[in-house]
Amino acid sequence: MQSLKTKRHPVSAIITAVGLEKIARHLALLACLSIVFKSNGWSDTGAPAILFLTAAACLLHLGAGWLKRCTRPGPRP
Amino acid sequence: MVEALHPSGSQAMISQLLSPDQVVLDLKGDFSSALRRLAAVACPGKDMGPALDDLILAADDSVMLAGEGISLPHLRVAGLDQPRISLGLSRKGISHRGKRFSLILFLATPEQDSAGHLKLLQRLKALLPQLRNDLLKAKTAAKVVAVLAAGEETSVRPTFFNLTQDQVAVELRTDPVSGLSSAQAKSRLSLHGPNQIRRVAGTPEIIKLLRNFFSFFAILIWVAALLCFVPGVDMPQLGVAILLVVVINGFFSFLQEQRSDRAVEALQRLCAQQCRVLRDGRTVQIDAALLVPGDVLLLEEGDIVAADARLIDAVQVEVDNSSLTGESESAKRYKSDNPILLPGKFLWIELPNVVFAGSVLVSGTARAIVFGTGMNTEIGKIAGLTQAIKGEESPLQKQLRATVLSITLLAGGLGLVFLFLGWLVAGLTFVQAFVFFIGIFVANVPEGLLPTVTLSLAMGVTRMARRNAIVKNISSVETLGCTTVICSDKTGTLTQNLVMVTHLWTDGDLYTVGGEGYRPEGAFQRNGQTVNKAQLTENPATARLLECALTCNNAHLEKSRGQWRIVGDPTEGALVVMARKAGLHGTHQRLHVNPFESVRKRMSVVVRGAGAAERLLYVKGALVETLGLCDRILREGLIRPISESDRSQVMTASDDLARQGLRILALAYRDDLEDSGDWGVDRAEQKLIFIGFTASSDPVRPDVPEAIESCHRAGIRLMMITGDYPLTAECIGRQAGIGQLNPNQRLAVMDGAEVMSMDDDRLKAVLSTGETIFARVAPEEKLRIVSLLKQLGEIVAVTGDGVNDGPALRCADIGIAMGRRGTDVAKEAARMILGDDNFSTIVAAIEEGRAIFENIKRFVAYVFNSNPQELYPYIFWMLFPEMPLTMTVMGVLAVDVGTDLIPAMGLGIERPEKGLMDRPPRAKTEKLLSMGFILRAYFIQGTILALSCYATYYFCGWYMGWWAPPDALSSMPASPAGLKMDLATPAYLMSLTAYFFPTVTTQIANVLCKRSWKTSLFSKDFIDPQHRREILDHIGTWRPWSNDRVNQSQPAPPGPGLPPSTGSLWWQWLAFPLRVLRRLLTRLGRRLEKPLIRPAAAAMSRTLERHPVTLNFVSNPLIDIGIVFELGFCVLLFYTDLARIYYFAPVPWPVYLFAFTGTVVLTAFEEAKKFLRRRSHRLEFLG
Repeated sequence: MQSLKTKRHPVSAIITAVGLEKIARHLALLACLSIVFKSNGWSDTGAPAILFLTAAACLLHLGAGWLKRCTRPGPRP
Repeated sequence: MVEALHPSGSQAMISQLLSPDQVVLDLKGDFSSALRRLAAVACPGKDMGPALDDLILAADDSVMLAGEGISLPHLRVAGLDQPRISLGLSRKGISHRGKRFSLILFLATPEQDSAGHLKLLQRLKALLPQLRNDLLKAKTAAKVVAVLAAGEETSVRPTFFNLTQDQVAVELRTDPVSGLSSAQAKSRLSLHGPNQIRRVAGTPEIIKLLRNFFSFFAILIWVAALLCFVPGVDMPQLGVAILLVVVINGFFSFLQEQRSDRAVEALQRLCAQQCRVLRDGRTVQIDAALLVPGDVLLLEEGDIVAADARLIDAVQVEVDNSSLTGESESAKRYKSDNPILLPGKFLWIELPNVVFAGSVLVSGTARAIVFGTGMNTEIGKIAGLTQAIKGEESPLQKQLRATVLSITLLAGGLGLVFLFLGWLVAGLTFVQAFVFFIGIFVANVPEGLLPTVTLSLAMGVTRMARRNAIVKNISSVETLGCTTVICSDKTGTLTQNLVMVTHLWTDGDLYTVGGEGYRPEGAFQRNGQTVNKAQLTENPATARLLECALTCNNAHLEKSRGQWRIVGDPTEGALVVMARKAGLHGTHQRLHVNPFESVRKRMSVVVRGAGAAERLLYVKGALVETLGLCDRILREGLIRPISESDRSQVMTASDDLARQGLRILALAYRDDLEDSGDWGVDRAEQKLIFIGFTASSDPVRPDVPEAIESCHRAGIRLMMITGDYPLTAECIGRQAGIGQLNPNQRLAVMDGAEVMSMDDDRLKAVLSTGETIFARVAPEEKLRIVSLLKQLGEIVAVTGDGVNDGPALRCADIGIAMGRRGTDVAKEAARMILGDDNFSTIVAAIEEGRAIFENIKRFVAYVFNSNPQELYPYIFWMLFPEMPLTMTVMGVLAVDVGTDLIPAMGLGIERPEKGLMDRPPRAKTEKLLSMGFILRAYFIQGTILALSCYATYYFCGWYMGWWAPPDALSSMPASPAGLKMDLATPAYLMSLTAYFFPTVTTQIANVLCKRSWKTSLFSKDFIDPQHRREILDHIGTWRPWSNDRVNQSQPAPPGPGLPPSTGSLWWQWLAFPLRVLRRLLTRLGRRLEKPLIRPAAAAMSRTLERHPVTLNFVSNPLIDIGIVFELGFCVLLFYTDLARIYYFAPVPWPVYLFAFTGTVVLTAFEEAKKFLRRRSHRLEFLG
């Protein structure tokens, strides 16, 4: 039989997941803009910083995905 | 939509398998040539020569003959995709082995589908003799097909599994005594495959993987990587590194997604793992997966049937089909070679001489020949149907897809316009213009839309969970909101799923019995007057009836965890409850029992009477049979011979109750038994004294009529689809209020056979209006009804509990399974599970679903109002090149993160507004976003917000002395040359801040005002009184560690000194410091509880109760947190190093204060609109 219990704090976890995803996209966009800005000489952001931005964006995105998976509502077998 | 809905193969009508070109009207020649011609017509291009030779030589009469003058040659052919038939008519007749055949039907079925072969064969054998004369009269091939079609539609002769045991054994090439040989079993296993439910192949893994590489987020990273290789950028090493990152990210996302289809696993769990069969004449226990058609299966009490099988030997067999049908009552099964008459067209599951895979043998022993295994079993077909139905997008998903597409097109179009204007007209380089493209694109795409929808749905899910509705598929929540038809089952959903005696008849009087459930409390009434317990026990007739009901009974009532429940048969339990309501408890010593037998339809017990030698026999059973054994009746305290008039009176009274769908049980006794000890059925059950009868039913749940009335107010139609009998279903339907949607329309009641005989157009006509009760409905018909309702454009919610409901549950827009009595299969196929199996929970869930759509509309309005403030700076800068650019791309991104996220999500968690269930369901076509809406958002409200931003911008210029009223508007600090922001002056950065901050302050007013369309934010009625009470109680009883207490029952993750759990170990160790910190804070909180937290929470609750308007502002904590977050984010943007990234600089405090004028102006504007709306001015043009 299935348990009808829902998982803990789905709403706060979803808000966190959504926030993380939003920030991840924001960072990815920043990385794109940084490359454009750097090529135009508008800013002097280094390649390591851009790579860091990209990696951070991916990590946050994965974290958001993991949280969403954990908070997926419904019964557990 | 559902391929499996179209009948094919053995499920199809015979007339559907036969086209006119497969009919030969002038069959001539000898039998052999006729057969070859028919085989060629049935299976063109297939060489069946050797098989036909075998058939002609080996066929015996029992196989070839279907009736007088009819031959039915048939064979199973390897490699055939579906059954093929051809029909030959010969008026002169064709001779074979001394017999003449005027009608020869050739049947070839796929070798691997032995179950389908048997089904077609038995249907043909039943049908052809009836139609023989009509078929022979037909002049054309088309007419022949028409006769067959009409015969199948109108056949009144019952169809049944009418092949004899020997025929079944011959068809399956097995020996009922010794079973198959090991070699035969092995070869059949390779032909039919293992007896397992197979998973239909889903989306290929490679597609799933590729999806993760091309999601919106992944594309952004791809763009970053590709930009590195663009000439002029030239950072290939960085490009390669970013490519690596995107690949790793894609793989990890793919791994996260891995999830199996649990519906199939649930079906597999239902099937037996081991079984006993006869192989080589010996009994062996084998893995159920190795079972093949033709195996002789041995069954005994408690066994799960491993495959569909025909009983060839059965002793007292009773099977529990609840896993297949959801019906809790077990059914008798018999060994039978004789036609068993089932009225109308039969439900396959009701066949009395067949057992099905997944059923449980409740009692008895049996031997059966397996004819269907794996996906050819009924449960396998259900699995196939369930898997064949593709998950469809919910109406909201469709709306969102359309909305996102329109917004993307809008944003992309605007961005492109500005890109080309900037590049070709304003003299920017392409890269500079491209940056503007990004800015405008980001400004116009409401990125928060999907997260808010997710949150809104999640909140709905959480609130529904509190109301006992567990939602599995999150997008289904909103689908509930636009439900137009609910197809509900009866037992347990509309009714209480218990048997309750509601009436008793004795001594010429009809009594009603009150009460609820199995609680032994309830009033007895006669002619509307309450009869107390003393009166009941003093009246000899009622006293005897109650004593008989309690004594002739094997069930008993018990209280467990505060709940009353029946141990034993529910019908008997209902009698115990009735007796206990009258204050009776068991006192007699039982001396002998004649158990219930379905043939006798009664049971009896012998008990010791009041006198030492007195022996009493109490009998209960079916009314007609029991009354037939009575020669006396108890009337007015005396026993007298029963007259015809008495019998007639009893039957009239019982018929009245039976017509209301009640089940009648007669009670009788005998007080002149000899003390010989020989109290068998034949000697004891005769010369009885009739006492009376009881009428019982499964009562309607008390809150269901109100819930159905609520559905009707909300414009939702109800259809009852049940396996129960029409009379009972109609009675329950009427009690519940089904059919009262339109009082002028008659409540239609149809049974499964009627539905089966109707074509789609006729059935659609029935389904298109009013409310209908469908009784005795098979799973295929339930699926068909749901499917046709969907074709009519309805949004259909379907309830179900059995395995057989799986296809309909999955086909429905929202499938609802019963949490308590539903099978795992139904739960897995459904998108929502009712924890309490109660219909009214569905109605509550519909209200939540409607609220969600309203919230999403609020959010869209909120976000679109904020876009123009980000867009206007670009328009002015492009149109008037001397004007400074007042918002950079980085500013747009900051707004995107700062204001579009948390406050907007707050709108997604607003509770349902009053009156939501008094409106009709929203149309499927109702759009979240229309062109009018976009224009209003941009040009009315958006302009007001943009003006507020410009006002603060110029106020800052005036305050700082950069600009004064007579000066040109362009005399503010200029943008740096070529927009090289590292060359920007501090004054310009301050001016950017002055424009940016009001975008935040005006959004505060915007989000607060959007919480209601009509009700003022400053009104005491802003929050529904019930919700206000809940909020105040929540605040008053708030404790910082409340979640901790709730979760104490859950296992704690490991760490030093903590017990292990099943979670990921590394994660738990990582989280350990956080847990320690949380525990410390909890301890601190507990210490502060009494002196500080408890009084503070209570005082806060009281204060807010006294000041309801203040409560309006704090009742949605997410919006409040969002506002604080926005303001805090501004502090970070203006006063930390982020200022260098986002290009801001602090401004004097009067500028910040001035920015709040936008808040005031917008609030006033929105309040004025609401005021006018309350006076029924629609004011669409104001947005």
